[in-house]
Amino acid sequence: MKSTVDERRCVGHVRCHALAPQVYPLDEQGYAAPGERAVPAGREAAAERGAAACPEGAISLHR
Amino acid sequence: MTTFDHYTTGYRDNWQRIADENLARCPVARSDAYGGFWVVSDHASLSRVIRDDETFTSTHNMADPSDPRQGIVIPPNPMLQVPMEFDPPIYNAYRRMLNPYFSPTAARAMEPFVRQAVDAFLDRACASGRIDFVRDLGNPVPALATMRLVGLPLDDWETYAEPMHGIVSFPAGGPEYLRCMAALQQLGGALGALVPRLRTERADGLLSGLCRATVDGKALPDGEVVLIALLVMQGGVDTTTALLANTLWWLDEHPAQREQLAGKPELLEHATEEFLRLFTPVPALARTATKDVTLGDQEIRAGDRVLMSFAAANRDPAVFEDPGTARLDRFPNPHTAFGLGIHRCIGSNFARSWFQLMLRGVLDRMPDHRIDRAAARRNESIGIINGFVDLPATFTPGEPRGVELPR
Ligand code: HEM
Ligand code: SF4
Repeated sequence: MKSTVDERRCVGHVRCHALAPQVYPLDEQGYAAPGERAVPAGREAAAERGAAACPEGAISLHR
Repeated sequence: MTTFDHYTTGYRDNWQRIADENLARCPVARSDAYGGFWVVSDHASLSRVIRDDETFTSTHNMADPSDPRQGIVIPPNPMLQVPMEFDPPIYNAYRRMLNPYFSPTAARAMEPFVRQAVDAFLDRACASGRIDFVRDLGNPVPALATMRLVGLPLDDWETYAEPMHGIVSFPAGGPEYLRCMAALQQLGGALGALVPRLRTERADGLLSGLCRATVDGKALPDGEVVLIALLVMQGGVDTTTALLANTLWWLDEHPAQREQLAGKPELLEHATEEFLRLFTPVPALARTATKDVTLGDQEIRAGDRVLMSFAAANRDPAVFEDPGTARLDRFPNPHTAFGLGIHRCIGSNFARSWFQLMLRGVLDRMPDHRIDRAAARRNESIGIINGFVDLPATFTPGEPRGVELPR
């Protein structure tokens, strides 16, 4: 599974990171690190919860 | 046309009903108060307004009161809020400069300080068996933490917190409000006097950082350094207080949930979001339309003022199932209590952390407290902040832990 954080939408609510810190690391601004990255194995459920928690709909998950 | 006026006591006492009625009947409504404005209640329209900063500007033209762009408060704030009342592209440069001071890492680093402050203030009350959760905890802890964040002498916290607290609990433009505004301007003067030294000497805190920061390659003028510091203090000092007070008031009414929360600390993460949704400490803020646009079934004209009711959007049944009910484990919970879009509350990481540390402290150290509901007093007006002035409680006296205030 891969996650993509859309940096045009992310405004740093950090709900994703609060629920899945290993899946959604932060950048130096304290926002979710933008772009595509692989979801660590075994963290798929956390990745989904983190994506669902984003109030800006900035995160998409895909194969 | 309605007479929606968010500063009246009628609104304060009936805001949930008013929000629910607006959501059901006129999610985008016209009010004739304060020269006329739109009230946006539904989650979808509010999200659209707050995310479209080109069509709905935050700009506040202080120099020309005939310019309809009068910032994010209705009626307009007499002081410019930098950079909250700026738009992109320049806004983004300010926000990037400020963000690192407010990151989750910064909030975590401050936790020991806040925990110590909570324990010290609870120590002062615990042997007597009486506490006022606003005056003795909810107001001082965020005030002290904000002073620390800004880098001001901690001993002076009362001088700063008093007018900040006053300014949000009285109706905008009224005599008490104006007195607090004058005190605030005086504080601005005191902050300004610190700037020249901080331009050359390095010190801890945001104020010193602002004195050395560049935005778009230029140093910040003295006036902006002061306005940014004042905005952070206004944001920091009373909002978290209001969240704590409303939560304790509600838990006093719901002993089963209180017990649940005390026994299961891991509930607090989701419960915090639910309390933010239900109590929405900052009930509404405004924008100005820059062009004609259709919103819901209403035609908004360029120059119209638009009030975004976060309080109403947080009760929108299209987004929140059974919105009037507190579900401490509600998920997902896309509430708007911190706003949405680029101006999203920069202090949200601190707010969550301070709130949780204060609530934990109360639940741990005063587990049997009862609020004196007859003596509790809400803010006279909740137009700016939905909070309490007094929230007295009694509990079985406990042993102080011997914790001093942090310095
Ligand atoms: C529960 C507590 C809080 C609530 C409900 C709250 C609410 C809000 C809201 C709704 C906004 C958005 C303004 C807009 O869109 O125009 C905002 C912005 C802001 N808040 Fe908070 N706030 C809280 C705590 C704090 C704290 C603790 C601080 C400082 C330490 C703070 C500092 C600010 C600042 C500086 C802004 C302006 C951000 C910008 O425009 O870039 N807030 N807050
Ligand atoms: S929750 Fe959404 S907006 Fe917030 S940091 Fe994560 S991706 Fe960004």
